[in-house]
Amino acid sequence: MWQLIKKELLHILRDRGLLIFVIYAFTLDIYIASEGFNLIPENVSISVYDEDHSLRSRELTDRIKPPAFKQPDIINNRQEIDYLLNESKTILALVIPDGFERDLHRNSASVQVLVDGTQSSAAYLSSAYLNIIIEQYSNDFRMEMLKVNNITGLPSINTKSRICFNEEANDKLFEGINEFFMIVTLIGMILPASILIKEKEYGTIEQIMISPLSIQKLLLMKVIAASIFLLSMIGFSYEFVLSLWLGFRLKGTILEFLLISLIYSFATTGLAFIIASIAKRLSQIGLLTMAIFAPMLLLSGGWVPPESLPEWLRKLTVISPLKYYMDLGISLLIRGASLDLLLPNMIKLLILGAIFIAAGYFLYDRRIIKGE
Amino acid sequence: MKLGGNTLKRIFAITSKEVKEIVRVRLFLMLAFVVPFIMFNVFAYGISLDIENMPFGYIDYDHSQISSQLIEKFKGRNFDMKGEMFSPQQADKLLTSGELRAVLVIPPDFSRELYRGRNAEVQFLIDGGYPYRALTIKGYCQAIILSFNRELIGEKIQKTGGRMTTGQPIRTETRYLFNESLKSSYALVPSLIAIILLMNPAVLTALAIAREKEFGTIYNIYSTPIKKWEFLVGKIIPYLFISALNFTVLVITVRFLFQISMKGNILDLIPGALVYILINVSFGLLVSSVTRTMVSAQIVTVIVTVIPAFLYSGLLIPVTNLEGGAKIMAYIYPTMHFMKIIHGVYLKNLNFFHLLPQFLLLVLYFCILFSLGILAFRKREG
Amino acid sequence: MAPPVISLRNISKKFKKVEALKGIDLDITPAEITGIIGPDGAGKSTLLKICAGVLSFHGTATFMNTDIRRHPERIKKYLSFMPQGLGLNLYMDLSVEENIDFFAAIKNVPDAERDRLKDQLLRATGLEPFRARWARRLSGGMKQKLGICCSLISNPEVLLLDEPSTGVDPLSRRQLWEILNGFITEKGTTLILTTSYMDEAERCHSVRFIHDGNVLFSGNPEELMREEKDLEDAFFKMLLAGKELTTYDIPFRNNVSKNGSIAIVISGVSKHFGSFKAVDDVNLSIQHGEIFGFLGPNGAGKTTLLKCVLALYKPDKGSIRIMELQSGSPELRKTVGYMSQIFSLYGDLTVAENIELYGAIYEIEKKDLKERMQWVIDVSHLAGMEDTMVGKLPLGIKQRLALGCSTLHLPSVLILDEPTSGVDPVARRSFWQLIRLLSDKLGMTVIVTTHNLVEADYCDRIAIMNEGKVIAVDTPENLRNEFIHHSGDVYEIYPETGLDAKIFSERQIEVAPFGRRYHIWKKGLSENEIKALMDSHKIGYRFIRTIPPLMEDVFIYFLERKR
Repeated sequence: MWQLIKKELLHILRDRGLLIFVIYAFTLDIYIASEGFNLIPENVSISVYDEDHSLRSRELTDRIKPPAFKQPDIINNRQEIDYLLNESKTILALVIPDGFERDLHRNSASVQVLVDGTQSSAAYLSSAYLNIIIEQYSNDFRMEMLKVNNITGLPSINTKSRICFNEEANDKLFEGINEFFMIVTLIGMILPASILIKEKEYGTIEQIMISPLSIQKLLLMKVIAASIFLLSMIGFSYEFVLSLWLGFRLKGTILEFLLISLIYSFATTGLAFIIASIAKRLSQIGLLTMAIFAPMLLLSGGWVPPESLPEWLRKLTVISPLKYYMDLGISLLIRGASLDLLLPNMIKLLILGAIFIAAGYFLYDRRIIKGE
Repeated sequence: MKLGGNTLKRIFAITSKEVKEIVRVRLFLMLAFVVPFIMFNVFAYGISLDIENMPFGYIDYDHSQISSQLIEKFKGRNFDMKGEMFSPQQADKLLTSGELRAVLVIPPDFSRELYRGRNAEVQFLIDGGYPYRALTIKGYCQAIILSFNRELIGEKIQKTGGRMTTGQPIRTETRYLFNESLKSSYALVPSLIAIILLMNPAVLTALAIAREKEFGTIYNIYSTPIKKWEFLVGKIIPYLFISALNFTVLVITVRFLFQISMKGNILDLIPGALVYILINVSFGLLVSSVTRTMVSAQIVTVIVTVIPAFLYSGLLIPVTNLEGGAKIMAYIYPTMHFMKIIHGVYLKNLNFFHLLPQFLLLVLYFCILFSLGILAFRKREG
Repeated sequence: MAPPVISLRNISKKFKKVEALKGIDLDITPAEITGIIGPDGAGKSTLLKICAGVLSFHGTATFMNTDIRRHPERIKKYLSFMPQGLGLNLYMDLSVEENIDFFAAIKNVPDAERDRLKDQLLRATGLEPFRARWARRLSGGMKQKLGICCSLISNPEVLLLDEPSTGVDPLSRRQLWEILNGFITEKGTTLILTTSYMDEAERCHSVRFIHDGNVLFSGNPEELMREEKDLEDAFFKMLLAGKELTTYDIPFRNNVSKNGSIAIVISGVSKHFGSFKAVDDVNLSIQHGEIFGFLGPNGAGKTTLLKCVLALYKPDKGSIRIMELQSGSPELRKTVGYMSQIFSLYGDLTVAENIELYGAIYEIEKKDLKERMQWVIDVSHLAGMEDTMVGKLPLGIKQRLALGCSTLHLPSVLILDEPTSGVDPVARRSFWQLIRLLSDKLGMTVIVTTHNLVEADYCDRIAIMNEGKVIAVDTPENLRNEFIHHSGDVYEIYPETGLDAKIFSERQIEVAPFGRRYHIWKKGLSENEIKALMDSHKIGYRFIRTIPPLMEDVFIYFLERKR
C-alpha cells in the first residue's frame, strides 16, 4: 500500500511545472495578496479648498488626519480642485465656503464633499468616513455652543466600539488567510484532477485494470497521496508563510486547522473527480477549474457577506464547501473558536464531501474508467 | 511591407484552420465564452452588493423605554436583528461561531444617566473576522448613534423650551462626480470589463500556440516559407473575434443585468477595447513563446495577468494610494489606461478624441508587445 | 554525378549535456531516395531537422547552394518536412481535404494546381472516399498517408520524412512507396527518410548508417548486402563489430510445462463500436507455450481482440477461456501478464521504482522480487542505471524493461500489444530473443500483435487479421509456401542500369522497386523467361535470383484472396 502512495507522491514531486506552481501559490502568492489587497482605505489623499480661512474651518480641517487620511492638501482655487478630481489625482475634496464660521453660529453652515465617482470602492468608504468626521465635529460644536449658553445637563450617548478577535481590524491578516483558503481550494481541485486524468492519458490505467490491484484501490491511493501532499503544503504554509514570514498570530492549533483542512479536502477531491470526468484532457482542467471556482467564490462569504446575498443565493451557499471552510477557518484562526463550536459545520462539510465524492466517482467511473 | 495575394491567402488559411479547430472542440468553445461570463458576473455581482442584513444582537441591562428606542433604530436594511442575548458569554459564543456580526451592549444605568442629562456609554462588539466588514459595521453604528443623539438633544431642548433648532449646525452636501447614483457599482462594474478582457484573450492565445507545440503541428510552420508575422497574425484573428464577442456580451450584461447605462457613446469605447484585446492577445503570444506545454501556458498567463490586474489597476485600491513599485506597476500595466477609457465613456461622457492620449498609449503598447511576440517566436528549435 | 542537393560538413549538435551529432559530413544526391538508418537515439531525427532548417546547429550546411544556418527561411519553399509520429503534422479536428488545402495555402500552391494534385494523391492513397472525414477519425495508416499527401501537395524539390512508415500497415505502406517512387521517377524529387525498418532501407538508392552521432556507413544498400543475405544482418554485424549478441538465462523456474495442450480458446468473438465491427466472429485456439502472432494493419482489430481476451472489453458475442477459466475471472489476474501498446511504464519513476511498483501491485514476495528485479535489470542492460528516470531511456530499452515488468509475476500467459513498434533492429532482435527465452524456459504462452511483418518469422504461428476477421492462421513457413503455390517464386533482379518497370507490368508480372533492384513474381514465371525478357530489352544485370517472398507480399496475397 505504501508503495502505491509513494508512487503517486513521486509523480507529484517530479512534475516540476506543477510543483513550482504549487510552491509559488502557497508562498509568494499569499504574501502578495496579504500585502497588496488592502481594502481598508488608509492614507487616502484628500484636498481641502478652504475659502473661509477661519478658526472653525481650520478646526474642521485639522480633524482630517492619518491613518484614514493623508495630511490634506490645501488648495487655493476652485479650478484646481476640479482639475485634480477630473484627472483622478485626488480622491476626495472638501470645500469649505466663504462665511462658514459665520453660518456655523447661525446653525446653517454647509460644506461640500466631492468624490471622484470613477474611483474604487475604497473611495466610497472614505467619503463615508469624512461624513462621520464632519458630523462629529458638528455635534461637538453644538455641545460647545450649548455649554457657552449655559445649557447643560443634555443627554448624550458615547460609543465604545470593540472589534473583537482582531482589535486593529488588520486587513492584511484577513487577506492573507483568505488567499490561503483560495489556494487550498484551487490546488485541492487541480492537483487530484490532474493525477486522476494522467493515468488515463498516458494509458497506464489498462495495465492496472488487468492486474490484481483493483482500480478503486488505486484511486484511493491517489486521493490519499494528493491529500498528504496538500496537507503538508498547508502545514508548511501555515507555519512558515503565515506565521513566520507574515508574522500573523493565528489562533487555534495547527492540528485543529489540519483536521478542518482534511475534511475540506474530501469535498475538493470530489470536485476534482467531477472536473477530471468532464475535462478528460489535462489541458482543459485549468479553464474548467476556473469555471467551477468562480461561483464557489461568490458563495463562500469571503468575497461578499453571505447574509447580504439575495434569498435564493443565500440558500445555495449550503452546497458551497468553500463557505464552510471559510467559516471554520476564520472562526478557528482569527476568532479562536474551540472545536466544539465548530463541530456542526464540520459535520455539514463532511456530509457535503461524501456527496461530492460519491457523485464524482459515479461520473469518473462512467466517463473515464468505462470510457463512454 | 507589400501585402501580396499570397500573404493574405496564407493568413486566411491559418485563420480558417484555427476557427475550424476552435468550433469543433466543443468544450473549449464553451469555456472560451462561459468562463469570462461567469467570472464577470461573480465579480460584478459581488462588488455591487452593499453590506446589508448583518446579523445583529444586543444585551440590554437597562430595559428602559429609551434603550428600546435605541434598539429599534438598528432594525433597518443594514442589520438583521436577531434579538436579545442574555449573557456576555452567549454573545461571545455567537460572535465566535460567526452567527452574529455585531452586538450592542447597553449598560444598567443607561437611562438613568441620560435622564440626569449625563453621558451614557454603550458598547459595540463587532466581529473582526472580516475587517472590511467590521469597519463598515462600525461606521453604520456610529452614524446611528450620532443621529440618535441629535434626537435626544433636540427633544430635551424642546422640552426645556430652548430656542435652539434641532437641525445640524453643518449640512454636508456630498457629490459623487460623474456618478450621480451614489453607487460604487456604477464605477466598478464597468471597470471589471478591463479585468476580464485582460485574462481571457491572453489565456486563449497562449493555449493556441502551446497546443501546436505540444502536438507537433508547429513543425508545419517551421518548415514552410510562411513568415512569422503572417502565422501569428492569422493565429490571433479568431481570438480577437472571440474576445470582441465576449466584450459585446459583457457590455450587454452591464446594461441589462446590472442596469448601468453608459453616458457616452459605445462607438467611443470600441476602438480602445479592440486595441486592448490586441494587447492581451499579444501578451498571450509572448507567454506562449517561453512555455512549451498547454498546462504551463495557462498557469503562467494567469499568474502574470490576474494578480497585477486586480492589484495595480485601481480597481480595488486607488492608484494615487499606491506607492513605489506598485505605482510603477500600475503605469506599466495597460489595464489602468483602459480603465480610464471605460470611465471616460461610461461615467464622464467623454468622446474618442478626449480619450485619444490613452488610446494612443494603448496602440503603443500593442505595437511593442506584438513586436516582442514576433521577435520571441522562433521558426526553429534550440 | 549531379552536385549534391544537400551538403553537410562537420555538423554537430548538443542538447544540454547530450551530444546528438558529433561532426557529421554528409551529401545527398538529387532525385534519389536516401535512407538514414541507425538505432534509436543515433541522431537521425536531429539530422533531418537540421536539413529542414528547423533546428540550430554547429557546422556548415548548404541546401541547393543556400547556407542553411544563415538563411533558413530561403530554403523552405523548396522542401517539405514531416516530423516523426503518426499524423503528428495533421490537424486532428480538420477533415482530410481541409488538411491538404491548409498545407497548399501556406505553401503558396495555386488553386488549380492544388486541386489537380489533390485528386491524384487522394486516389493513389485510397483516401478519396474519406475526403470529409476528420483526421482524428482516421486509422494510423490513413493518417500517415494523409500526412504524406500534405507534404507532397506543394510538389517539393526535397522531401524530408522522419520515420514515415512506423506504425503503418502493410497495405498503406505499399501505397506510400508507390506514390513516393512515382514522384521520384516522374518529377525528380529528392527523398530523404529515416527508418528503423531494414526492409525499408533496402528500398532506398543510398543509405547513411548513423550510430552514436557519427556516420558509420555511406553508400548503396547493395554494397552492404554483398556479404550478408539482407541489410538487417549487415547492420547487425556493423553494430556489434565482432561481438556476439549477449544471451541470457533465467535463474528462476515456473511450474507451467509446455505440453501441447490448449491454453486459450476464442470462440465466436465479435465486438462492435457503434456500427463499426472491430472484431468479427473470431475463432482460434492457442496452445500452451506457443508464441502466437497477430498480424494485420492498424484497425484490423488486433488490439480490440486482445482487450477482449484481457477482459478490458466485454465482447458482444462469443466467449474466451484462458487456462480453462472464463476470461475476466479474478483468478486470472495473477496468471496473465500484459504490456500495452502505449508505453506501459511510468516515465517519471526510476527503473527500480517501476519494478518495485509492479512487485507491489502483483504482491510478489520480497526475496523473489529481489531476484527477479536483478534479472530484469540484467536483460534490460540497465545495471548501474537503477536510479535513472524511465522517461529518459531509449525506446528499445524501455520496451525490454516493460517486458521484464510484465513478466515479473511469472504469468502463464503473456500478452504483448505491438511491443516492438518503433524499436530499432538490434533492440528488436534481442527483444524477440527474450520472448523466445520466456517461452522456452518458463513455458509461457505468448501472444503478440505486430504490424511489422518482418517479425512474423519470430512466431510459432501467426494469424493474419483484416477488418476484424482472421483471414489465415498457420506457421509463417506454410503461409509463404501457399503464396508461392499460387503466385509463383519471387525473383530479385539487379539491373546494371535503370529500367522501366512497365516491361514487367505490361506482361502482368508483379513488380516492386527496391532501390536499384526489383522484386518480380508471376505464377509460372521461370528464371529463363526473365533472362529472355531482359535480353530482349537489352538490359544487362548483375544477378537474377529467387528469394523467399516477403511477408508483406504474403499478407497482401491473403488479403486479396479473401476479397
